[in-house]
Amino acid sequence: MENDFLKRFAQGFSNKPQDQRPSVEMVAISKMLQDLTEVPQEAFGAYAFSREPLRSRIPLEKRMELTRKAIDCGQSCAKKIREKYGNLSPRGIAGKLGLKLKFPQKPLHGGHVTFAQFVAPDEITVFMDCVDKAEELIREEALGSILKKLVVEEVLIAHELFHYLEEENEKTIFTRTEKLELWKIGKLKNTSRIVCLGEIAGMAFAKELAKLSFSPYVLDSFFVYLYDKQAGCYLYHEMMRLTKEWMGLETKE
Amino acid sequence: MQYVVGVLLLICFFGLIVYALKGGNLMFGILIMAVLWTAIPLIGNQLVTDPAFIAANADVINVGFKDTITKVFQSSPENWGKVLVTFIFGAWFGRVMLDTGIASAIIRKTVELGGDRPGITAALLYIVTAAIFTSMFGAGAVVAIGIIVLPILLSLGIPKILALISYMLAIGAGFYINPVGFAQYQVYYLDAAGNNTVFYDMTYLKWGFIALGIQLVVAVLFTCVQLRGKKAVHAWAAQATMPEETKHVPGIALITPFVPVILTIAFNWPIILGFLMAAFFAMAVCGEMKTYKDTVRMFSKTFFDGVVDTAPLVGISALIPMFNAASALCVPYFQALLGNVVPSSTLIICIVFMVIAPLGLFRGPLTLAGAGAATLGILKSLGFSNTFLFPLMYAPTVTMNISCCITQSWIVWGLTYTNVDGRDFLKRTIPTGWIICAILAALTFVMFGNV
Repeated sequence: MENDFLKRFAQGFSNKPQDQRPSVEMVAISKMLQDLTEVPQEAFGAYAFSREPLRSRIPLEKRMELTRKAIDCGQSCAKKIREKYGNLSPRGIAGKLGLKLKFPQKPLHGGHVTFAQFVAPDEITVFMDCVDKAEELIREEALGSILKKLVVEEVLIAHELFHYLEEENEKTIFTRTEKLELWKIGKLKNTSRIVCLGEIAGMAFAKELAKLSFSPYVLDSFFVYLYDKQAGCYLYHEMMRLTKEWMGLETKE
Repeated sequence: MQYVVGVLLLICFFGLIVYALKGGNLMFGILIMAVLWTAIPLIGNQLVTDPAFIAANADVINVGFKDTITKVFQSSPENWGKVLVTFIFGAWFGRVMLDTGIASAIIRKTVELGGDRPGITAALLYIVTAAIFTSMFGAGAVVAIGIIVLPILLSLGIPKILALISYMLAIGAGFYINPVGFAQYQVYYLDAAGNNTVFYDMTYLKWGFIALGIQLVVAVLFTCVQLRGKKAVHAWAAQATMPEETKHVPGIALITPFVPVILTIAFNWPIILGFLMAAFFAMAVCGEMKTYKDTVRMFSKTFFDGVVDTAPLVGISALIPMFNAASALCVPYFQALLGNVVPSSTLIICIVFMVIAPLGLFRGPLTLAGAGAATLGILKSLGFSNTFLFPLMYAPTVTMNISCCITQSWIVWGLTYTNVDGRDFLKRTIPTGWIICAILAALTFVMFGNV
């Protein structure tokens, strides 16, 4: 403890915020992806809710139920789109829907890594630095056999496409109509949507549309790994822990 | 001769500014300045021949060599020890707030109050952030709170640049009444004997609370105004830095960050006692004191971590009293050279500060976390009271430097974390910070212009 204290005290003189992440067991990218692709998509609800600001107001059973409903919502939206546009790629569908697609090279990574975004009403941005890096690593490490049909760019577009559909159908779509009552004083009350439901549904939508055998949530860990191996491994361990706990509880249920 | 010495001292002053702007190590710069501003007046004292100048400044000029160097290099930094102790206890308290989970619980509860309405929740989060930083300080605390607050703001669809700027402004707002922040800069106003001349009392706090309010209102307005007409943003993003695990925190614990400041302001209790009481209260109600072993473990761990957090301040703060004492030796020479040039009116000085507030950026001559120590030395030598100078210099230091400048360590972290471009950040923070500083300079004149 004393040695650690002296080291950190000395580092403190640099006046830079110190990396406070605990040490993490490094894992080969192939093992990381193999493990994560085997996790059922429902179990990623645990990970999604761990990022939800209102999570402490939602009991575990309710989280599981909402996850299932959000996945259903994403899947049914994907089916409707498939019925309408056939086998068109997500990029093609976005084009048919008149969405503007942007592919800047500029990377958007830091502690908070952004892979793609949708800006209402009709703009999808895919950050190509992340896509290029991912494709390069897939080639170099021969990860294609694990990630199978993955076309990174298409999955990212598909996910953002769901947010477009959410905006278009905000009065009827489950991810927007499901509300949580935060507080109530007499007739005055405040309700809020649950932000992570849109993400869970978006992932289910992208999985269906891109015909993936695994949840696109796997890519969170993979993409972070591209910029910071240690952080990627940390995220992998966290995802595995959360999803295992969730699956254990589901079995008991 | 006194003019030659005055010019040499001014050259050193501009040298420090250039050195700070070029990113030189400020700790070393302050030490060199202390040596130069001691050596040059000492030599000058031997060479001046003007009888009127010697007679008018006999109390400074006739002090012996040994007494002078003892005062500058020994007794001044020794007396600073009192401030260091405040730093350590403040930092320890901050660590207790983080390790007990109180800081993150306050933020969670705030989000639960506001929900998914970006404007309301963001405004509440800024208020809470400012409240937290009225007692916490340091890069560790900014990062620990930032990795909770920033992802929430981003998940609500607030553009990252707005989220980052308002978060940093909210931290700065809290800093205006943070007793540790006050102590950190109080050290610049010690007299030659190393005694405090400005105090964390209602004289200052009236100004401090108004400054907090102004900066906080600007932070909230900044987000709300910029959000108007903005379209919803949904980003697929992942967080590489982990937020701390959620711990159970009882409701009563949420008052903890306010305890030290309230005890100090309302009951005039010593601030260290305030930190001690608040920290042990937090540990007790959060179940960290169930056994003697638990208590000792938590106390030791948080205290060690707190001491580490003070490291960046220790070096420079130990050297500043030397510089202060040295600048007292320069007073006769600055008065001779600048007495008729620099305005002696508090109104004119406040107007000048309103106009040149951005010089508080990039460790410039208006920030005490940069070359401002030299500016302060000159202003003090021209007879302005410390009661007036403290808020005057504190506004550009806290707002321009600590809240708006990309040379601030935790802002560098924030830029990296959110991947906001430094130039884009400055394009928005310079006008915002400038407005706040201008208002605060006017406030300083109204409240302390005649002191």
